[in-house]
Amino acid sequence: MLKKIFERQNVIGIIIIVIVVVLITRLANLTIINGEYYSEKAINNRIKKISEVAKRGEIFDRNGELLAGNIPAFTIQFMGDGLNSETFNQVAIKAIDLLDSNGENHIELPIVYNGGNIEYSYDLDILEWLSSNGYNGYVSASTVFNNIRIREQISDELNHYEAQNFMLLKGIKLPISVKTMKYINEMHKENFLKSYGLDINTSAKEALEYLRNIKSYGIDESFSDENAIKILTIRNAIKEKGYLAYDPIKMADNVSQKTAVLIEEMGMDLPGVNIAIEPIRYYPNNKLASHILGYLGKISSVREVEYYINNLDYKRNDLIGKTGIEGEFEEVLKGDDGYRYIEVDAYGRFVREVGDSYDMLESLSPKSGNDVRLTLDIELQRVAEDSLEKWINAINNGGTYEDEWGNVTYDVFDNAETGAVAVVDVKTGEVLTIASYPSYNPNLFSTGISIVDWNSLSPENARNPLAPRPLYNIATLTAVQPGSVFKMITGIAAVEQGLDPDRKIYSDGYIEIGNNSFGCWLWNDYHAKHGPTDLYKALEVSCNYYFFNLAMGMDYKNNRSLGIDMNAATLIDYAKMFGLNEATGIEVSEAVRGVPDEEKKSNAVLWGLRIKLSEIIDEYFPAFIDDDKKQDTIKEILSWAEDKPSRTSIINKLIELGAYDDFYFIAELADIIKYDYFNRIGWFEGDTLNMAIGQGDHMYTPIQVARYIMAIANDGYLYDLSLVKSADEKQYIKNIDTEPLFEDSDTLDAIRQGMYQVAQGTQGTARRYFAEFPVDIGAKTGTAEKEGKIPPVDEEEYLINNLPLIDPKIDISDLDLKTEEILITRNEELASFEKEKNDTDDLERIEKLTNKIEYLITSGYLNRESAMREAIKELSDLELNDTIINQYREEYNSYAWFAGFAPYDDPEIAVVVFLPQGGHGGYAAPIARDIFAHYLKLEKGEDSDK
Amino acid sequence: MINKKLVKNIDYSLLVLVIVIFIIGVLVISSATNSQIMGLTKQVKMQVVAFILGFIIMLFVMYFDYSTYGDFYKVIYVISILLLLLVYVPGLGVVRNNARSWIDLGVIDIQTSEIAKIGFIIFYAKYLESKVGHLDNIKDLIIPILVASPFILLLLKQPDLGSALVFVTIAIVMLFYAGLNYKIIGIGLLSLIPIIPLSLRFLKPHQLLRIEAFMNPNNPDLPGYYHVMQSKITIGSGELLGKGLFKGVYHRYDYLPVQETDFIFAVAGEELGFVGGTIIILLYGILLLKLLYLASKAKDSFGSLVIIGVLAMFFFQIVENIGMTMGLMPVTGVTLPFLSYGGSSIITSMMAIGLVVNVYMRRKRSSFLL
Repeated sequence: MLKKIFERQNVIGIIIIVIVVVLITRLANLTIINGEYYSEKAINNRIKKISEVAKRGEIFDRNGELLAGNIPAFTIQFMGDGLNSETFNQVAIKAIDLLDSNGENHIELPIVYNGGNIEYSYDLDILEWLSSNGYNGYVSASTVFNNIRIREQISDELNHYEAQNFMLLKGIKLPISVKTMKYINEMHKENFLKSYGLDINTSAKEALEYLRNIKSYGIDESFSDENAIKILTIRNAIKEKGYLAYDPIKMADNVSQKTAVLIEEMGMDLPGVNIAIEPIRYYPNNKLASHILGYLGKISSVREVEYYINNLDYKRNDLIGKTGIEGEFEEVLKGDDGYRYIEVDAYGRFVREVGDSYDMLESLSPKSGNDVRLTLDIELQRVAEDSLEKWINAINNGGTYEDEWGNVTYDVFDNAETGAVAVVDVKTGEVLTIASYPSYNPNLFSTGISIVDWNSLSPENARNPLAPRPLYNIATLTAVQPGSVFKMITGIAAVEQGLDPDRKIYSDGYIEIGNNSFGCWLWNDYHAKHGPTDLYKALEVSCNYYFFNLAMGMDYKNNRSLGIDMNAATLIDYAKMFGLNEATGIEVSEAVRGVPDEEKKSNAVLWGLRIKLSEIIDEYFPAFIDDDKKQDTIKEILSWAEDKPSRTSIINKLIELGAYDDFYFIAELADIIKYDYFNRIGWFEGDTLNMAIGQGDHMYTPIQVARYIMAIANDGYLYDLSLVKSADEKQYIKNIDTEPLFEDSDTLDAIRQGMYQVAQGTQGTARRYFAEFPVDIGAKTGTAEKEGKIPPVDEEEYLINNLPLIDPKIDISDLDLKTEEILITRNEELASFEKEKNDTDDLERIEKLTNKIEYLITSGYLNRESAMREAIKELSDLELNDTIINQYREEYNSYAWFAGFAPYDDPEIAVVVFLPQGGHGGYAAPIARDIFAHYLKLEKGEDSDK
Repeated sequence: MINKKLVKNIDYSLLVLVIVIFIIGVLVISSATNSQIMGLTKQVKMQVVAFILGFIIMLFVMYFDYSTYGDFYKVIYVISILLLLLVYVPGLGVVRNNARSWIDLGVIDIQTSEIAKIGFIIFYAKYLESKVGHLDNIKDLIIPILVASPFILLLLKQPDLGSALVFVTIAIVMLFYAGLNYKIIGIGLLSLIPIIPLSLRFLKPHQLLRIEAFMNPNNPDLPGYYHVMQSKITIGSGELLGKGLFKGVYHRYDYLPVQETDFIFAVAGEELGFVGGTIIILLYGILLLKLLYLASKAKDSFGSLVIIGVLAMFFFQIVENIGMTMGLMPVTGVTLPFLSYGGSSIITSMMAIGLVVNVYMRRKRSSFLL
């Protein structure tokens, strides 16, 4: 039997049968036991889910003109999961080379080849940003943030988030995460390293080495670092997708048609690379209404990630509205993304669309975002923006300009670079125009803005708060004194308190209170007086004296009461009544600073003291160990203000606090603190007088003023302003139950009569601009002074140029020498701190020294201009301080305001024009004139009804 | 003139089996080459033409008494080796897929090792005929190994590991059938332990990688992984009944490499499922057992050994090819007899069948004529 089995033939037969059984078993294993697994794999490999971006809702003006739409753009996608690493690597290199050679932007690995060095682009970006912001070398994010907080005079009351928001509104975008107080890029870098399980201190070279050696990437020695970076760029992008890895990655956005065609043609050589067409945001009118529309940007801050990605399921690469309507109505405009399935070949190339319910895969069509319809009239907006640019340039250059509504002559105000316009429909509160100059092209942001473009939108002289900031919406965010435009409030208050508008009160030029003189502009400029003045004339000629009288309820000339109950509180109440202390209701960000009061005033004074002290305190105190200590000392001094301490007591307290123990020396500082600051705290008669004519601590935005003018024009209906007619398929209805502010129209009739005379009266301050205008209007001009001097762009140049004025005895070469000397001393001083840091083991000491070094460096201690300033003080025999040295800095030109409504008989629109350094209020009038003319469809030659 | 008696003695069931497998093959090839869309593809037509040609050649092979071939066994040996050397003739030999295994005849490329296999089987059978029962010690094995080695070395040089292994299998199985002493087989198996690592040194790097991939089936970095994985997905997704002929999807769009030749079984698996795949395996099993049976019926040892050689050739190709598509064997370029697309393969297989039929129909000693 055994022998039989071992017959050769039988052995072969048995082997054949065994093998057949083995093969069938294996087949059963694959098809039956694991069949479902492989079926699923077959589907997953072949069928890809492609997300379909929902069309973003469109934005229209009131007449249905498209303001923000979408256009198709070519996107280069890559789907590489079917490729073996050899092909993958070739494709990655080829595709990136091709994009590079066509000048297209594409995704990048955060590790770059920088002139032979391998570095993190994150680090380079931080350094570049720092250097373009005047820092030499690396400084920490918190130092930068605090520096800018102080520079921008952001109140201590605000927390970091609020302060950041404020900066953002000012167009200052810091690449800093406030939550962690690190640079955003620093956090990106950490996340990048963590995602590979690397330590956050890994050097770029080590990280690259690590990535290169990930075995499944198949990057062998033969690849140069440069090519390895190209491959890793794609690998990293896929990795970042995480569980969405089957989704194609986007290699490049918005490439030119030429590049798209080129890639299409090379299809066979670039397996996995596809061209997709995606909608991108498009603003057909470019810059027009850019501040209202806002712009898009990547989800970047920690808060945005939390809100949009974690709560609303946005994708990492989605663009979101950052500002304006795009930002405020992000969720309305966004829509719901959908998806569909496609079949791809083994190389990830598109084969065909997969129909619905194939393999039970159902696609989901994207749901377009909802449209938003604005109240803006884009044609009027265009007129306003063109006019702003034209007349601001004219003011900048001076001279006489011919114009169909009457020639205009300007003196030169060469700081006039910015301006804003707000136009409101007085019958509804709808905003027809909000313009701010300069503006920006929101199309630049449609696929994520480049650093170059972003920098071009940043102010040239960031230290100057009034420097042009194209992203900044002056009309809703710049709150300053309204000047004489405020006088209507004072008038309304007085009439409502019982003043007869026809009563003539003698205007005597100026009022003396204590050592201060409060003059009418006519007295100040021409030593003339307006004499007997009623309300109409007072508005017509903008007589300060008349409104001083009203504000105090006094006839100052005759030193008797006017018989009406008037004081600062009354004025504040009426200002509030006209909405100057509240938001206007428009659907985009607006600043509300509001009416003056005692607290605000003392805060302003203390703020001034704080700035002053941080400049001079070092002279009176031995060197502070660090910035925190210095700030604490300053805060301590500020806290004394409430007790109104005597001079001697201040001196003692200062010495107690650690100032040099030299009574007479410290008395100098005490005098400044007491007489220049503490004594100004409190509310004085002069403050009330200033308030009456719109000077002092009033802080109103042009849009707030427009709302107030609207309420004058429409008999007292203080509507909430609206910018949106409908959104999310809902009508925005406001103001159905707005009640008028006054029972009868007498008071406002009188005010409007006065405003009529401003434009049409023989002495009207705006008469010269409206004399030839065919329609009667109401108007008021305002001029307010901006305190302080403009920080020069180049400090060193300023010092050298003005040296003969500061101290003619100083020789320029001596100054150079001394400057160098100081720089050397200071450098050695810092070096000694650094040494001490290395020598000591006291951690607290080390931290303090680190902070001190950082503080000194960032505050410009090692800069030439700072050393030169010190050198001038040392070389001069004069008692020089910063105020004296700075006195030759350029003054700010005055704020120019124009407020008006038209037509006078039956007002339809209110117009407010604000030129931050426009010089004279009247200078803003031609812009309003252009707007009235367009709105009222006036043609030249049409005869006036005058 | 063929003797009617001889014709009567032909084992028709063998031919039917071959034709059935071939027809299944043509159907699967037409699906693999997208005939349902493209119409009858070039591959399908070529395959049918090759089969007809193969059938004629088979008849031709059958015509002469196989003992005549045995008489010329030395000539056949030399010709077979020359065939393998032909690929080095400039202008004639060509390199395909990194292997110098082909000659270009203008209209058609021929893999000379395919024909050499037949030559080798005839030669080796004749050579071993006299050794039957005398393969008792290692010394007896030296010459049989030496005469077989030129084929194997030449094929390793090409390099064509798959074909080399076909020759090795043919030689071993024939030696075994010829009565190789079990003791020697035992020693031989033991001696494999040192020989395998040694022989690995003769392999080219890409062959080594394939073997490494086979040993580590779950390492996606190794080159064979991707092909085998895709093949397993293709077969596995067929599940029990398959997606239906022409309804397979996964073998299309380049997921499956060389699907109409080396990986044809995977296509069959996807479309015909476990049931279809099992039927194919069983058909091959029956074919092999049939050959084994026919071998026992031959009138002389030479005839038996010829059939056993053919059996060994088919056996290895079937096990290697099907095993490879299911991840049981390393990936080589060995085709599946009668099923894979390819003229050389079909013609060789038909020649081999011709030899088998030849031996079987002349099984009776009393037969005369030719």
